[in-house]
Amino acid sequence: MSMKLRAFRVMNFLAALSLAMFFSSAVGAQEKKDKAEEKKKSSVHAVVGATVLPVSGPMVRRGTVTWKDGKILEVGAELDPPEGAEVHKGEGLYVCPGFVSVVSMGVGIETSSGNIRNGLNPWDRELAIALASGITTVQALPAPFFGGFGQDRPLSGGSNSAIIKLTRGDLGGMLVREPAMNYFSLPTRQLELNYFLMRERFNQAKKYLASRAEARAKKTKEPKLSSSLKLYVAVLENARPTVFSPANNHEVRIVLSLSKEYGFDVVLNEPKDAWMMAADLAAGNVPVLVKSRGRDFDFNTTGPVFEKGQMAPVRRPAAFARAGCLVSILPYRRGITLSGLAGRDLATLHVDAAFAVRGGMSNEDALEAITLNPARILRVDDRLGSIEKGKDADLLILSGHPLDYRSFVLKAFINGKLYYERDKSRIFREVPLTRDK
Amino acid sequence: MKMKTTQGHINAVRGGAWAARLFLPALLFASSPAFLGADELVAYRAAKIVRSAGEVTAPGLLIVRDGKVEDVLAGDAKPPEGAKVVELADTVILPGLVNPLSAISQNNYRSGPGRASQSNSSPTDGRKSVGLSALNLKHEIYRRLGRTGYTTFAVVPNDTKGIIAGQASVIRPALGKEKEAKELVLSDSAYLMLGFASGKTWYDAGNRYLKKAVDDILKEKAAKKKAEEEARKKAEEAKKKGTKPAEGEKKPPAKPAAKPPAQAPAKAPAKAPAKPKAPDPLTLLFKGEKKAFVRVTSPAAISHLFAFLDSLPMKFQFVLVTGPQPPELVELILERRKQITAVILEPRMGRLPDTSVYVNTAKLFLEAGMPVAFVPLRDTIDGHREVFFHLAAMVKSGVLPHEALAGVTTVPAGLVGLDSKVGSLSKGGLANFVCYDRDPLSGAARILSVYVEGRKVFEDDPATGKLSGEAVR
Repeated sequence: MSMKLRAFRVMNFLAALSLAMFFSSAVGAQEKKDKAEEKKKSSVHAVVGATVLPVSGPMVRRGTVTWKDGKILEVGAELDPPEGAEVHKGEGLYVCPGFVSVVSMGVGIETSSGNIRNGLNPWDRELAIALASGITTVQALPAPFFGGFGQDRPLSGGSNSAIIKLTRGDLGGMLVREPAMNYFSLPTRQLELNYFLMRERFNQAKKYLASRAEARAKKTKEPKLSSSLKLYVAVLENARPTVFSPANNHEVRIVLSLSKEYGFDVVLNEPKDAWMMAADLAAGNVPVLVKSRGRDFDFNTTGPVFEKGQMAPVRRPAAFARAGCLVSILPYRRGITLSGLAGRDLATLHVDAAFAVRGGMSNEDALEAITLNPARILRVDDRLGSIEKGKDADLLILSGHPLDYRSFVLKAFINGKLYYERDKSRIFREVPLTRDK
Repeated sequence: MKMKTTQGHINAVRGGAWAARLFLPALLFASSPAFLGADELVAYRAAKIVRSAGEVTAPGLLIVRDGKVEDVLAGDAKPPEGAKVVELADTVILPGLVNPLSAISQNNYRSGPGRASQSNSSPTDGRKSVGLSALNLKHEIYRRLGRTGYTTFAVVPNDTKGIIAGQASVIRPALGKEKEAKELVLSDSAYLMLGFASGKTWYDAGNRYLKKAVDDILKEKAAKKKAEEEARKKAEEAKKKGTKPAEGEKKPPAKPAAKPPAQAPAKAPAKAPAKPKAPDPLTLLFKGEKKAFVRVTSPAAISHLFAFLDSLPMKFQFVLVTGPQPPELVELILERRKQITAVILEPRMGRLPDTSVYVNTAKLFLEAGMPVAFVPLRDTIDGHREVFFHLAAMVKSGVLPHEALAGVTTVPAGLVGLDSKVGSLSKGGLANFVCYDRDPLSGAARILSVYVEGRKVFEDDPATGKLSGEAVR
């Protein structure tokens, strides 16, 4: 081929390419303009005409929710949206607060070495899936080292935890508080002996706190804190709730007596038979974290699903709620299991709440058990968990009632900003919306 | 006797072979026009000369004097008097390619470190180690660099570590006669290589090194301000005293006036011999006198890098080194256009997470006006040789040909601060160039020859497939 011909061909190709690029870049510029305008829009938003479930109050039909700068302004029936607000259509749709999961594992965390705040991953895929499932806030716990079969491990003492919002792609909006809770594992063997050892430690911690207070009052040097006492001191300081995972009711009684004696708040994580003493727990204001589905994975698959004299898991949340306990419903698995059994993880928290309804809980209580109650247990109910004036605008627009398994989250707002939109997301796109006609 | 003669014959043949091995390179040397003398002037006539990305003379005449580009003329121009004319016929001459980030000088070059998307291992402080220190001239790799078409490499001493991996030195391929590694070096410390990842250890390291550097600068500034203010106050006081000479006569006592001169000579000699401290590269970085490349791989690492940089009271400009990213991340990076001067990428496509939808990250950056430099996919000799193959794939999906070419020539040359010397065939620049048999982005292109500072270091004869030159060992 002669050089000229080749050059001509190259030129032709270049011309065609540059023409194509010109058009595509023109389109890109237009898109950018649109985006800039979107950003300029006021931060006032409103959902109009939706069935609003504020959780803290009764259901509002044809309700309007408005929010500005991340805080909720108003909730009410047939209110006009403020001028200049970005209006989201709510006709035929439901609005409820974003779900709060009191546990989660490996969601939104990239690395857990040291602390959680520096290891957050706003681009985590599992975070995106949890958000698409309506979960806006979780207590993040690092994934366990041995996580075979996506199995949950008992919460161990001293593990780090943080309350994070699932603001996808926005690291700055994620952290709410760190650490979230104290984790205290009861030494189950030789319980009596350990009980006395624990009391000894608590007494030492009490002494330490007294001497520290004295030193602070006198403005002298604070006494040194030994590492073995750290957890006990943190529990007695009661700046955050303490989680116990008692194996039986005997241990529950020990926990209750300790909390009464030393004056700290406890949360019971999956107390096995504690429904028998639900009234005691209610009287002591002890919240419980319970699952509403099955037992945890067990290698002994030949045995009965639950033993004689036990209550079926589906009825347990209702039993606690009926007695007046603060109940928070746990997901079947704490993480998102893409390789395991679908529909049994954090992505189906609302289905777990629906199971509790099947077990006798009311719709309102079940919804509260995955929104306001976990917020109360995590002590962030001044900001999260319900749609009330002045609270964070963390809310969902759903295609149906949040406890209906057919419902999908259409839009999820956190701190007033839209972080998930079903129409623009790839998550759950393959599933068509089904609704009653 | 018979045996002996045979043996002697064999010996003679062997001797001849040795002689041939000894003299053949010498002959090649002699025939190479660029090695004729100190005052040489050579004109290369080629079908197409790419002076720099997007600027083409076709056909063209490249005039080289003493290893530097003197001019690029039209092909039918008369070569200057005394010039030896080399006819390169149907070839395309490109400026020698520039790699802005490589670890090829290290012994593990075969496994290909130095990738833009390689993660940083553990945080270390390598601010004192310079790429030059890792060079081992005895290694064959430095001569082989010449056959890649790349004629400039910025080498980092320890690229797999953060938070300060070290300072990069810019080198050229060896021509075979160097005695010291220094002779390869175009620039001692072109930039500071940094890295960041998520996790407390990285934040701690960041505070230990970067934040400390900022604090030192701020302290120094505050001290200066204080000293200045004190000096001003003293001057004002002196003025006041000057206005009241009658009263002030008693005030200036003899003692303090006598003391300072007594102290000053005692202190001054102690200060003067103290060796001049080499400026800390991190301090220079925050003062804007030093360039920095920052490598972050994962989207989370990018978010954490930005969060950490925002926590610093002072800012510095840097070049972001990263792998293919989804569009959201590109937007996030483009929001910091003022801080991020350019992006270094690998010429490969990214994918939208959980889909098989491909994204051309480089195109997204280029559309937004962000300069993009490309590094080879593998940091090996072969990786460098096949860079245009991957660049062609990028061009197919939307990067313009001249942008792709700029990404391996002018842009990286600018990033390492040598744009007047390398990356283009401009007047006064080094005569580093590569001859291809056709448009290098055509996919079937073949390197015919490579010249470093006017010397042919590599030649691939398409008729015989025979390789020759300095780069073939």
